[in-house]
Amino acid sequence: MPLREALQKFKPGVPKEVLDAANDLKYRDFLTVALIINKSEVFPDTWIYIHDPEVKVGRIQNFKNWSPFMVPKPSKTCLGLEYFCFEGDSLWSMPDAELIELAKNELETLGLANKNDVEDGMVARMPKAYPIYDSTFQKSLDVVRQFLNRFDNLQLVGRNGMHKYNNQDHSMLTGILSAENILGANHDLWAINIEQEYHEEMTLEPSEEAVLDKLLPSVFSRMDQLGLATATGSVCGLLIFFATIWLASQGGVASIYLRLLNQYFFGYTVTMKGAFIGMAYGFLWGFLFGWLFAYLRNFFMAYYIYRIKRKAELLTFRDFLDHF
Amino acid sequence: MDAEKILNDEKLLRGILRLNAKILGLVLGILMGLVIFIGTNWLLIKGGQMTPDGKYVVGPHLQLLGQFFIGYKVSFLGSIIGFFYGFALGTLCGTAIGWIYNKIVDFRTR
Repeated sequence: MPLREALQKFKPGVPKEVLDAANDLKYRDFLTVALIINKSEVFPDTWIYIHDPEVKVGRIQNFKNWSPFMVPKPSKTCLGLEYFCFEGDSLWSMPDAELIELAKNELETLGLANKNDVEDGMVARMPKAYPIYDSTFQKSLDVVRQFLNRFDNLQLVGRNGMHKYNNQDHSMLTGILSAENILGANHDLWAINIEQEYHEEMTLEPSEEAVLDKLLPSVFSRMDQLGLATATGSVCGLLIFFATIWLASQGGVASIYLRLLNQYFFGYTVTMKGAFIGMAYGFLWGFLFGWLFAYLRNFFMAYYIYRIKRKAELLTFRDFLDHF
Repeated sequence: MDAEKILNDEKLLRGILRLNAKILGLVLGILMGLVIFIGTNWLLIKGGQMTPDGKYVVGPHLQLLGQFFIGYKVSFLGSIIGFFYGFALGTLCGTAIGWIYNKIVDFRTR
C-alpha cells in the first residue's frame, strides 16, 4: 500500500499536519502497451529510452532480450511500449484499442518495426509506479516517518511503502529484512539503497574495457584441435626422425635402446628407412596427443566458463540467499 | 545491455585461441631443462652401482643422452650442461609447435 493511502486509512485518523504531509507525497503512473511482433529480432537491447518529441512513448522494453523464455515462440518478439502518465489523464483514460493503435503507429514512426508486423497487443496500467521526488517530498516524508516511528509493530517496505525509488531487488530485500525485524532483528530498512551500488549495471572505463576485450579472447577462446594435433605431430615426428638419423650415422650404445621403440612402432629400426617410419609413427602419436590435449583443454575451459557464469548468476541473488 | 553481453560471450566462445610461440617455447624449454637437471642430480643423490668389472657407474641409461648432447655426463656439471641442452631443445620444440599451430589457425580462419 502506498504510504499516502496508508496514512489516510488510519483509524483513529492521524494529526492534520501528518495527513497534510502524507497528501503531499505524489506519484507518477505509467502504462505499458505490449505488442507481439512477427519478427524474431527487432533490436539487440533489453530496453531503450525514446527521446523523440514526435512520439509519446518514453521507453521500449524488449522482453525477449532479458530472457528468451519471456516469449513463447522464438520466431516472435514482444515489445513493451511504456507511456509515463498520470492516473486519469488523457493517455491513462484512452481505450485499450486506441492505445494499441497509437503504439503501432509510434513503433513505425521510430522505424523499429512495420505496423503490419504487429500481430496483437494488450495494455497494462500501473498506478503509482514512481514516487515523485519534488521540492517538498523530503520534508513531508520526514514528518510522516517521525510520526510512524512510534509504532513498533509497523514495518515500511517496498517502493511505495517507503516512498523511495527502490528497485525490485531493493524492495524484496526490505521485505525480507522487515520479516527479520518482526522476529527480533533490528535492521534499519531506510539504509537500503543508500550505499549499495545500482544493481542493474556495472560500468567499466573505456581503457579497462579495451584491456578486457584483448585479454579475454586470449584466455578463454577455443583451441584449434586440428591445429595443435598437427603441430605436436610434426614436432614429435621430426624429433624421432633426427634422433634416428643422428644415431644411425654415429652408431653407439644408444642406438640399441632407441631401437626398442619398435616394441611400439612396428617396423622401426635405427636406419635411414627406420627414420621415416619413426617419423610417421611420431607424427601419428603426437597428433593423437595434441588432439586429445586440445579437446580436454576446451572441455575443461567450457566447464570453467559455465561455473563462472553460474556463480555470477548466484551472486546476483546473494542478498536474498543470505537471508534464507 | 544484457543481450550485448550475451553476444560478446558467443563471440568469445566462437573465437580461436592463438598461441604465443615465444612463451610456449620458453615454458617447454624450462620444463625440459629442469627435467634433465633434476633427473641427473636425483641419480647422483641416489648413488650408482659397481659393475662386474669393478667400475662405479651412475645412471648408465641417462648417460646415453651424451650421444645427443655432446659434453653431457651424469655429474653435477653434466646436469647444468644437460639443463642448457634441454632448455634449447624444449624452446625449439615449443616455438615450433606454437608457430605451426598459429599458421594452421591462420589458414583455417582465413
